[in-house]
Amino acid sequence: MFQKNPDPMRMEETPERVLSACRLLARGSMSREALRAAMTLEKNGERELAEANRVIAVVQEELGLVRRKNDCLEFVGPAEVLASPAAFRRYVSAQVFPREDTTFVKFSRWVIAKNEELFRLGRWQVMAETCKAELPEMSGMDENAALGWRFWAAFLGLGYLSGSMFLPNMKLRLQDIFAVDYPWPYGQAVRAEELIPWLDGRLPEADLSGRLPLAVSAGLRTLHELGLIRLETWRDSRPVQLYFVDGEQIGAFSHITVNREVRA
Amino acid sequence: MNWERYRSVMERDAIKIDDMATSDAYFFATHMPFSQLEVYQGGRTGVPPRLMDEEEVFRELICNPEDEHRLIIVRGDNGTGKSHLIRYLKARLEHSPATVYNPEREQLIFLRRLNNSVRGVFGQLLEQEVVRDPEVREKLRKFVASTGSKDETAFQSDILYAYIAAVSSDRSGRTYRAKICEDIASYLSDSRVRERLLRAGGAIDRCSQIITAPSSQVLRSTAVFTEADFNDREIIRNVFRRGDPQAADFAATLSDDAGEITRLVGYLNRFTHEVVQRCADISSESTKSVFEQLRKDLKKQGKALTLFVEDFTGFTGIDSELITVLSTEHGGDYADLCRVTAVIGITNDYYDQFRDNFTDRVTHQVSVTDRSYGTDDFLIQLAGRYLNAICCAPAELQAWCREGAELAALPSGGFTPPCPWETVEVGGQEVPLYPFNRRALLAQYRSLPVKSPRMFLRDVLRAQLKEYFDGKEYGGEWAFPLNPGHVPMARDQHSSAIDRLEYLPAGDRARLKSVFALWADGSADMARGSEDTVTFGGLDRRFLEDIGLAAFQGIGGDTGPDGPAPGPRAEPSAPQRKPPADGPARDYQRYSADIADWLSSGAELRYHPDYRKWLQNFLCGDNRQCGAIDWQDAGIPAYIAAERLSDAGVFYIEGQGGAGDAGRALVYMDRSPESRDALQALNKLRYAKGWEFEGSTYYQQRLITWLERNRAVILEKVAGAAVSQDGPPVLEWCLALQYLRAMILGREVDTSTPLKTVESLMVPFQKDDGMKRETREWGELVQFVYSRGDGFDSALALLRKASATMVGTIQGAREDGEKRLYRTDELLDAAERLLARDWDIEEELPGQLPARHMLYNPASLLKDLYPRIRAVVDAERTQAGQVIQALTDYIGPLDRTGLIDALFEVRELFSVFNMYGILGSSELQARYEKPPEEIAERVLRQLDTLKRGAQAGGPAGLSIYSGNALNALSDFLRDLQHIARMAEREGGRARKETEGMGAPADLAQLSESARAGMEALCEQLDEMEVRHAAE
Amino acid sequence: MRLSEIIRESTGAIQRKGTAQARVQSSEAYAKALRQLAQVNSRLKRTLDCVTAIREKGICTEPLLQEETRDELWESANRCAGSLKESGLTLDMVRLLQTRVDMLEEQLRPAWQAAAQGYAHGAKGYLALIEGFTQDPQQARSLVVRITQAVEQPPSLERVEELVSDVAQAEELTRAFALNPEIEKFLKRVSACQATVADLTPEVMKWLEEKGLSGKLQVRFG
Repeated sequence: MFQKNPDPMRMEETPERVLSACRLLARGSMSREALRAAMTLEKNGERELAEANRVIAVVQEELGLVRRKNDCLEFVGPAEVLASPAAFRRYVSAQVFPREDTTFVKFSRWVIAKNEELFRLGRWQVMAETCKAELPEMSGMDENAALGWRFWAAFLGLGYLSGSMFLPNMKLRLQDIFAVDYPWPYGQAVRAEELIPWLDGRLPEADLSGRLPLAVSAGLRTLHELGLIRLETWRDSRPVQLYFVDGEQIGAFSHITVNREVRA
Repeated sequence: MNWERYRSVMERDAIKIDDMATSDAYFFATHMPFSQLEVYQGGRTGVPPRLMDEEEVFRELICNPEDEHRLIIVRGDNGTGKSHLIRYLKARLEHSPATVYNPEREQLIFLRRLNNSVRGVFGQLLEQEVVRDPEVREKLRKFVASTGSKDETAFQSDILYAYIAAVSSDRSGRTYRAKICEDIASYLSDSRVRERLLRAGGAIDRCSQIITAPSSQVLRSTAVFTEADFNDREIIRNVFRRGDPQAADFAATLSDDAGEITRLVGYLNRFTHEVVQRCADISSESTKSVFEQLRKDLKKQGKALTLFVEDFTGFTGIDSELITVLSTEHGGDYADLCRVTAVIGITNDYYDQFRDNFTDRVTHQVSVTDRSYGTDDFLIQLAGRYLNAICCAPAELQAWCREGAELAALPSGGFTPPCPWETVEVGGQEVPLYPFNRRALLAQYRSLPVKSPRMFLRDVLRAQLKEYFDGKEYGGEWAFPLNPGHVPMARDQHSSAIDRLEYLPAGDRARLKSVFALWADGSADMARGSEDTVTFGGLDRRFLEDIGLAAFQGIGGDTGPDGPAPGPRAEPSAPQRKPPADGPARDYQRYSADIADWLSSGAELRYHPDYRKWLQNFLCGDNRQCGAIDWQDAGIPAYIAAERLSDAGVFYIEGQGGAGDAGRALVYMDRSPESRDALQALNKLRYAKGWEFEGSTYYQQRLITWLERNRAVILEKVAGAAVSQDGPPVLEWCLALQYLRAMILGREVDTSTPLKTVESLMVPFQKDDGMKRETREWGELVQFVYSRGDGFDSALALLRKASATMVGTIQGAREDGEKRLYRTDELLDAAERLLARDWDIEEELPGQLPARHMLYNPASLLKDLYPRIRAVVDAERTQAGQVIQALTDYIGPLDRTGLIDALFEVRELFSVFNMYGILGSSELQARYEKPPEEIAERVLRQLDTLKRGAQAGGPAGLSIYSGNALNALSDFLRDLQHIARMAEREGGRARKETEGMGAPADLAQLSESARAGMEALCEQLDEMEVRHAAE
Repeated sequence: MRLSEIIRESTGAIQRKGTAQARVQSSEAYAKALRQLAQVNSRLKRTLDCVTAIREKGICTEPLLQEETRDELWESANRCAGSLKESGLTLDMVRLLQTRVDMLEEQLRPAWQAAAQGYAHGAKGYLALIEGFTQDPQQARSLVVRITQAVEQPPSLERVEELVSDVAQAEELTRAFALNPEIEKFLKRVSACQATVADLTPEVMKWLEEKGLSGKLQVRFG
């Protein structure tokens, strides 16, 4: 799922399964065979084994949580990472997004940059083919890869699934960043001019250089509506433009206040 | 501006309630010329009409230089302007030059619409000195006076009896045979039916109104009986069961066929004429004679008669007679009658009902249709004229009227709007339409339920202006503008955005939306024009300020320097008539309206089952696509989410009405603008079959925000957790149940490792082979397990499905197919906990358990199970003690030596049996053929098991006893008992048989006899002569 | 009570029963042997009596009983008698004696037949010749038959008595029947199927005529 491009990004290695496999290894190291047997409850059909192998590959090779020792797999990540899906999510985000050479990040970037043009594409297959056509380096992209991408994209907070479409809204992703890594005091207004460069470094999948893309804008607006942040435009300040949405009250902001409640 | 004066003028003079007669000045000031009147020759409508304007009608029909007999009816539906036209024609005639109208030579009588009951009409006739004959005058005067003072109850009874009499004497057979007529009369006489007819607002009351309505009222209809008078099924049933036979017969007819009621109504209404005459105490002759006499008198005076009847409705009872006398052409045999030009206004319904009376008598028909008044320009003109008349000083208008009421000389109202505004040309001057504009007027007209000038004046102009004037006069809480037709803004995301402007009061938000929906282009798009003018939706901001909406600052804000401009702003235009909607579009609109009403007017959601299904689909997906919540990745097993949310009844929307329990909702949607927007988003998604539609980004934003606001609560409820706590340990409970069931049924479970434990508990058990148990309690426990088999099976299904991982849509988790990967970590955690506690988690079960709750059912079952297990273990322990004691009694110390010795004894016994040919029991024998050491070892193991069981309680004890060592040991005891019994039996038998045994009684005698015989024989042989061998 | 005690008591009783049963069986076997001995004894006595009677009636001029047989019988009988003193008689002993009695009877049979045949031959043969000519041919015929049967059947005391009686009766009848020696000779030669035409003397022819037997005579070439 998070391999260097090209990466097939199959569906079977879902967040649920990866987390479960990590938790199994955290109980005690075990051989690959033992891990597979445990995950499948010793049903040794071909498909079971294949799926288990893919999950193990993600766990072992792509997330840095597991290493091989003698003939066993050993969990080496921080234990708190497995405490909850949210903790796991934050950890994985921190690992995965900086790797800009992965198919996952590249496709994420492309989707986010599409903004509302994405909706015209209608289906995953069309999305994959369009990406493939627009980005030569994404020649390995296909419908299955897009279908696989979607689970992690939703899980990591890039957006939401609705029918055969992806709704870009990075509320969760932004909230994770604000919760984990926010350098300013909570409850204090910060200039957008300061925040955006900082955020840019932590959102390699989004281009924050001009008007903020729809996914980021929607996420900020949602956080604002929920009272977790406050977006304001102060006089005599240069606001950062949000993606225009007809009817939305907030089109830009010059200051942002992040409240402590984002950490909940 | 004198707002109070404007309002007063409007209500008193310009636009009156219930059509109080306006003064001539206002009549002319607001009169809209009629055009496109359909004029027919004669009483039929077969030939296409001629289209004429009012002036042509006046010239050709009213002005009557040839002195031709004219009976002109003016037809049209209510509120179309018939009486207005008649009034205009009358006024036009009155104000015409002498060459056209000479009072010396022409008697002009105008019977007004007001006070047009029968009494009222005669009152007007008396007032206008139409009645000449003193006797008749006196009679009518008495009638008019008496009906005013008559006892209402008695009068109404008279009316009803008049109908009954009319029916019972009907022998025409036209509608009903005579016998049925009598039945009907009987039915009408039934007390229950009578009570219904005499009720306030009932048929008889209506008839009474026709006759005696007060002078300030206008009679609208002459239909006395309606279906509502007869369609009370309970009354029909009661008359059928308890009425007199004739009434009951007719009641049977009514109850069988709804069409019969309609037939009855039509039949009875035909008698109204006769009944009114009778009750009004007027005879057809009196009416006829009045007008005949009038015509004769006028003829004598050398005058002709022009009669205007604004509304013929009140002539019920005398209508046909009047028509007769008015349609009698002067000259010839009727040379003593003057020429009459009669212009009579009637409704289309009335005309259709009594067509026969008219068809051959009418000379012309003038039909007022919406051709005459329905055009956009007509309405705008009309509004302009009224607005101008309202704003004019009354004195100015009166003077203008006196001076001839020339349109070109019409005074100006002098109203100046606060900003440049639309105008309309009236009589050569531009009259501002403020506070309306063309778009608002037309939009409101189109949203009227009944589209007629009267309704337009009353419900659009008057109603809105009242609020406007009040607002201007008093400030405070504005209500202007009203939006009774609930016309929505075309750009509904702007409507939603306005709802979110918390700095505005709710009332102002509603008003803003009405303004933008009706006055503006349907949006609140802000634009800056020249000279710093700011418009919203094409409306000057100053208009908003004028109507108390100055606080509005727009929505969305500027587009800014960098980004793309928003979509092209549509030019404000008149609201177009929409093309007819197809099926999906109609559905979309009705959902949209339903959702809007739900929030704006607090109405119940009519289509809530559909909305709840949409929510379900959005959150949970369907068989192919995922929902917006990634349940399984968020920590809630796919199966639990899918199953818990499978019933649409767990989705509840506030105000959904009908059935539904908010208390058991897992997904609750409150009544709020955000929820409204979320539902609208789903409505649009459904209609557009995807997210590509105008405003989709806005609606996504609203939908996702609603989702995120409620997400945590939804997840908690679905997981069955209390606030901010983890959900119940369902897997642990299910594992425990499966294990305990295994133990109860005597199945082996591999508990060597947690993983083995889980694997062996995840499979269904094979069919039970009926392991025999020693205690009654255990047997009952097995029965309990069978009787609650569904609960156990459900728990196993829950265990398997809820621990399985799911790729993609959660709906797949409910299927029964094989699952591939499991959340084994959770299963192992649960198994370890259970193993550490010896499967006894009774104390950890929640105290209160919700009933029939998918997640808590396993716990309920465990709660029922644990006490039974304890009882069983106690019973087993007791029984084990007894068995061990009995064995000890038989064998002595139950050690290896003692057992082996005993077993050897048993073998010895069987050996003796075999030796002596005693059958015994081959089965037992076979069993104890094994080496005693081996049997002893086995028995010792069983004893050891029971000893361990004696130390353990609850599930631990159950596990120990599960292997049925007690049964095995009991069998051993039974064997020994059986062996003992056999031994005793055979021993006793042997003893008995031994006693009975002895040597044959004659043995001695035989022996003696044999001895003697042998002696003799030997002697004989000795003495025998023999042949020697040599011989 | 302990199981082992129960079992022990039971097995003891069963064994005792077994012993008692054996004893009873032994007594019964002894009684059976005694009964059987009595039967054998009775039979032997009758046989010996018969032998004695044959000798005494003159049917046989020499002793029928062989010495060896008598000795064996005596030996066996003596053994049986001896065993009776200690109640040691067995069925085998009795069977041995029985066997020897059977042998005695086997030996006696042919001897008797031969003796009886010789004894009855003359009388029977002559009577057979003339049976038709006697006054009671029926009686003569049945007498011949009886004599024949007695000879062929095993000897018994009753049979011996009967034979003697019948032979005497046959002689009585032949004596009473007078025949010309020439006729007698002719009849003998006829009974031996040796008569020829030469034997048809006038005397013979006349006798034949008298008896009405001429028609019954057949002539054949030999």
